[in-house]
Amino acid sequence: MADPVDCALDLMRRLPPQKVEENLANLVELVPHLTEDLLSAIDQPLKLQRCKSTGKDYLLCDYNRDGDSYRSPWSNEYEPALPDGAQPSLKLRKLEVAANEAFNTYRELYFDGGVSSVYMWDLDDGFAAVVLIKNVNGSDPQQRGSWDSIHVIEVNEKGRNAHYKLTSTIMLYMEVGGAKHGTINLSGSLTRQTELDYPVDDYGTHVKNMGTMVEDMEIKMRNSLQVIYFGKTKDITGDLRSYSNLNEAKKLAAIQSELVGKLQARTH
Amino acid sequence: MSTLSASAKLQIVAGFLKDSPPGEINDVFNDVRVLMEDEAVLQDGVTGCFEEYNVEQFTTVVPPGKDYAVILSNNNRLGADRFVDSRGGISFAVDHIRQTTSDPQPVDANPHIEPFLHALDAAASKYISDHYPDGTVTVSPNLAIAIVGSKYNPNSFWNGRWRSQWSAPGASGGGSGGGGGGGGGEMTGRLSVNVHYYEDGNVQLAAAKDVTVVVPEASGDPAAWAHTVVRLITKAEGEFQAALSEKLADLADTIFRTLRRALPITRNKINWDSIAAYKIGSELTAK
Repeated sequence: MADPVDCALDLMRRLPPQKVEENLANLVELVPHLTEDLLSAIDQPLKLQRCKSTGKDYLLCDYNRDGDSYRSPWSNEYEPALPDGAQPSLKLRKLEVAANEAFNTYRELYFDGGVSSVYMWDLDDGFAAVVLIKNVNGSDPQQRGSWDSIHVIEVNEKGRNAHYKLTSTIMLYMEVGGAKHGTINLSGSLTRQTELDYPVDDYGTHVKNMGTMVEDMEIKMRNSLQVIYFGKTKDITGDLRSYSNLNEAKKLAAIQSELVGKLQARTH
Repeated sequence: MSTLSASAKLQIVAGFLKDSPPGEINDVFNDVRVLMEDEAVLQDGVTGCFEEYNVEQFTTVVPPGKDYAVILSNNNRLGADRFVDSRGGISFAVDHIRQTTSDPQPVDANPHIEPFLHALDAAASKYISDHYPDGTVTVSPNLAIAIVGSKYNPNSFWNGRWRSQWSAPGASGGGSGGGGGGGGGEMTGRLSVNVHYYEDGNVQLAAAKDVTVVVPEASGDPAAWAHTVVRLITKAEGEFQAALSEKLADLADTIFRTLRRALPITRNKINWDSIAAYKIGSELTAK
């Protein structure tokens, strides 16, 4: 347990997710030699930027960053401009364009708003992709919420098949105020992993395979989020303080079992 | 690359320790100990963090020679590490890191307040056993009431804490109680709940509400007065808990649903063959 990276990750799993950006910035100041490790391992809420050449919004993360510049998935250009910035190969860029289109439709169907971006980069025996989706609910200042999906997929191409390894993190933040319940901040993230093999008839099939995998994962994770955020936290609160009177409930149970005993004695 | 001064590092670490979820300050401390790499600075500077955390989070300790727990709060505090147990009529010293107690000393009781203090302690203790499976209440010499209920379940990856800080009944003015006990007037409460769930993730609920209730002046019987105070507390805390439960259910049906649907409007999963305009492949596969 003495490995500093493990300790830093354990720490971030404990500190309030509401302050993840501030905590990560402080952590990096404390252990500057671990900066790269921590920035790639700890997910933060996604930020938006508008693509100068297409006017469309895209999401920023460590995977489309080179130095201080970010690559737009729509124009494939870095902003601020970076002539020798890292790029996917020509073939992979075509797949990236197709994936951006497909996941944009996916986003419209499930999120009814928000922004999506897909970035890809070449690996020795395949490639990797990250699918990002962000949706913010800001219409009511008394009820604010945001959803960030980060799906990282490593694709290992083996002949007519490919092995897909998916790591998904969903960050869900909610903050509400009101006279009856006071202020409620219910925030955090869940991370899940899965691995699957799919046939790849042609190169473009990767989009369908990744799409199916991400869709199934998000459906599962949305269920988990629902159970944990709205069920589990309420149950735990009930374990801390019982709304009903514990001693009266005990008395009632004692009376009931006594009655049952008497009834049974009668019938015998 | 600039290196932070020892005091700047300590300031960051202090922030982390103060933000520790219920029951996890020692885990956070063990992590920062490895990251800080400077045991001496940490040992010197960290006592104050634990002290602040204990008082803020209503840490409980067992006073020397007693068989019950007392909450550490600003209301029963005499100095940095000295607190009053008004139930036992003593003050005692606290080791904030080890959470041990020592050096009991008798404290002078105020004969005007004493009957009200003990009546309030008895009524509040009954309330705690009725509603808190693992709760503690401490009535301070000034009649302020602190309540804490914690559950630590690290094997199932969750911990939680309920805290209530109630001001002395009537102390905020208006009542004629003045320096004595049994006053009437406003009593303010700060109720808060913190829950940490961390199995393959990190989810935290932080809820808090400020409430004000009006306590009628005592007619002379401390027990009847204490009963009224606790009845008002029971009602206010129950209402907060009910409203919180209701709001959590409501959030699932409102914000959560608008952020992401369970399924598209068609009620079917996506047909990726039709949306993935991926026929780009042929030329690439053929090369």
